[in-house]
Amino acid sequence: MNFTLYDYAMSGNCYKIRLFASILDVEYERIAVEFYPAAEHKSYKMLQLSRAGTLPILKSGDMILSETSAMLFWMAQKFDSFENWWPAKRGADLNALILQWMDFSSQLSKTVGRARLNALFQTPVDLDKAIEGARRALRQIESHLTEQSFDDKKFLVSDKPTIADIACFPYVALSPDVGANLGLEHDGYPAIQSWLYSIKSLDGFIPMPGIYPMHDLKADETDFAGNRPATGKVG
Amino acid sequence: MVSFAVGLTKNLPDGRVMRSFVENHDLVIWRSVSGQLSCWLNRCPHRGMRLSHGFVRGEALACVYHGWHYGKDTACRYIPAHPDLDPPGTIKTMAFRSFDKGGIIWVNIDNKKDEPIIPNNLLSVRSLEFRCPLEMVEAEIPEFEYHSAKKGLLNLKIKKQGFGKWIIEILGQGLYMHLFLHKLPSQKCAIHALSNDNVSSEQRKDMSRLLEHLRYVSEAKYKVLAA
Amino acid sequence: MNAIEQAMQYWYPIGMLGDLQRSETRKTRLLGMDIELKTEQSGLISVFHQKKPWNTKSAYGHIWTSPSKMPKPLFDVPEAGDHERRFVPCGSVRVRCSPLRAVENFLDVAHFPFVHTDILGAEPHTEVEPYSVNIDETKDEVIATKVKFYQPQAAKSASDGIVTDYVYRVPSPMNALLYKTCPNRDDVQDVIAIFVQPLDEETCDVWPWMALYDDQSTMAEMIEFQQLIFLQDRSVLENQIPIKLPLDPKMEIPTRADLTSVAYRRWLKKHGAIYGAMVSSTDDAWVAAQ
Repeated sequence: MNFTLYDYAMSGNCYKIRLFASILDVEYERIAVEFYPAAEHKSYKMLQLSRAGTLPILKSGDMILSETSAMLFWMAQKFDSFENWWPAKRGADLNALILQWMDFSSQLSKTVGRARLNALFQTPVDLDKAIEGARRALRQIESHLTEQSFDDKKFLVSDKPTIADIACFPYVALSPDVGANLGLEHDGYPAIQSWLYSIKSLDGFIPMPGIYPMHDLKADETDFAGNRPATGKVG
Repeated sequence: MVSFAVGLTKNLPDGRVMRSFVENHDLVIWRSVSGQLSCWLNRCPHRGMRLSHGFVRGEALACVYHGWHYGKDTACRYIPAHPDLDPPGTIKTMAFRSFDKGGIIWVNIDNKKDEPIIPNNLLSVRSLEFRCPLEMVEAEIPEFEYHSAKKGLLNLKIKKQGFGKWIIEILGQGLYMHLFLHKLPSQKCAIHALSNDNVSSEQRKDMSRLLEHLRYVSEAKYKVLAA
Repeated sequence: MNAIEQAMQYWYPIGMLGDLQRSETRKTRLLGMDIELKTEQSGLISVFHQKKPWNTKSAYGHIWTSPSKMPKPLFDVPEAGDHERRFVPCGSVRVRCSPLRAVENFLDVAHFPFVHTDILGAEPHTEVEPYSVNIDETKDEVIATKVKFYQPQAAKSASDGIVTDYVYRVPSPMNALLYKTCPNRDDVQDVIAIFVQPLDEETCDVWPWMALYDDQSTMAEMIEFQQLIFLQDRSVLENQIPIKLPLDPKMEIPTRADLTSVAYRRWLKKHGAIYGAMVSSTDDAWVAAQ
């Protein structure tokens, strides 16, 4: 195995790592941690592993990582030999912009992520502040993606996806979980919708609860005219 | 009733689904793979699921809950739980007249055939949602001033073209923008904005930022008023 | 008897056993009423509404309460006494939907390929074969039997796709149980339940609970699996219009696959269990949705 991931299926932060591993087609060992209701990530045993007391945790040999940006960077360095996801040779500007959006992704976790945990499990949070911050973050990313589209760029820093897109995708995609009519549904954000669609279209994309798969057609069904399949009963 | 601007054509490519509102009607608007536009009540007749969460398959829209497929004529064509069943004609969605014109998606809930007047050579800028009522924005636009970070205070010539329709001309730069205001439920609204077509990417960014500032000012005033 | 009086006759889950701290008071809501769940230093648990005590009891991994002085007896789950099983409470998940919509979704298999894609169902295996539904007159429960569905990963412990057999039980309006093929053993069935705490007619906390034969999976894995399934449902449940469950057959169109749902809706109507329901198609919220 390439690494061990201490994981929780409902966490957007954990999902970043599962999604990127799936896109890179990297195998890893997965250990489920009971984030809710037992708060196992705060248990003595888990704190021995990572003092941060957060999920996910990535372990490779003696190395323990608790920040998802570092994990995504490490995975890109280690498993992406074409340097698509962390294009180190494409210049300082591009790399700095990737880092900037990776930092921005922690804003999404603090706002959308916390408001969502409150909506699901009533985890204590200053909800109004989290929602206000979440809306501001979505507007920022919407405006940026709109400007990118004027330059025919579909992704956050380039015409191709980078680890910045992986870092920001989960909590933008999960924002409707927080609730209706808070400015956190995707209806008012067309550039975000296009970007989510582009990411869902990537080879190796996997869903998580709250993020639907595309339900795209198989190659032999492309003529589907809305009628039931000509073969009738299938399976 | 006239046709309402509900979104920008470029924001709904073939095979995609969006949600919008006209007069408190929750609507699903979708474009088939061959490019045909439809606008329906946003509700699957089976279990009430919003169809805007659904997915396009060829010339049909499928509900995400149980995968019921509806054709462009609104009739249910396929129920996956009963693959051999020809769904009865009574199972259908409710459609409203919708069409693309001048880069805008229009909906007429009375299904009347009116033709909105709009030049056909405009370029999309963006759709922007405001968390304040349309009337706030209507009142703000004539007073609106904008300091561009790069160009300082812009010389704007603002013209009203009818209810919810404005043209903002940026003098000296050969730029003008058509704004279509769109009333949304819960004290919200949106602007669908287009510009003349011979503009650079930088100029489009300027116009996009101008709209963000209009939103900032309108929402700030609404906050004061609401408090 | 009006909707709320009818609803007040039942027991409702409001917490998980073993999750409460000594000398702790938790605030929650039931049927639109604010309540306090107090745990004494001695471990004694009590529930108060406007300083008046309500009945409480412990059962099936949860604390239950009822606003009624003489509540109907809590339904029986015989499998809860089977100590070969592992009992798995999963905490609660809040959903902005009618408590009755949450139960109805639990009784439905046709959504598996689309909402629980590649886990509880997958295209092209979408067909729902005919099954039986009846009312158990002695227990007054809705029962669906002989429900079969192809599942790629029926449980945490399943490694391959199997055709899973289901039996469903609705013993009270806001609680439902299912008995399904156990991936590890032919002779027994796993039990999965949802116990629903109606905060009001349009919001609920859902408490999943399981009694499984599974000696391979960790507790974290079993809980995670059930939470994952329910969170997939949540996105649907928060997007059904109207929010309340329509009981007038004209309001939503069922097919043969929805027989359990049809029986459930009729049974609710017969009992006047309409807290969280929309009875008539002349209801304002329904007219507005048209």
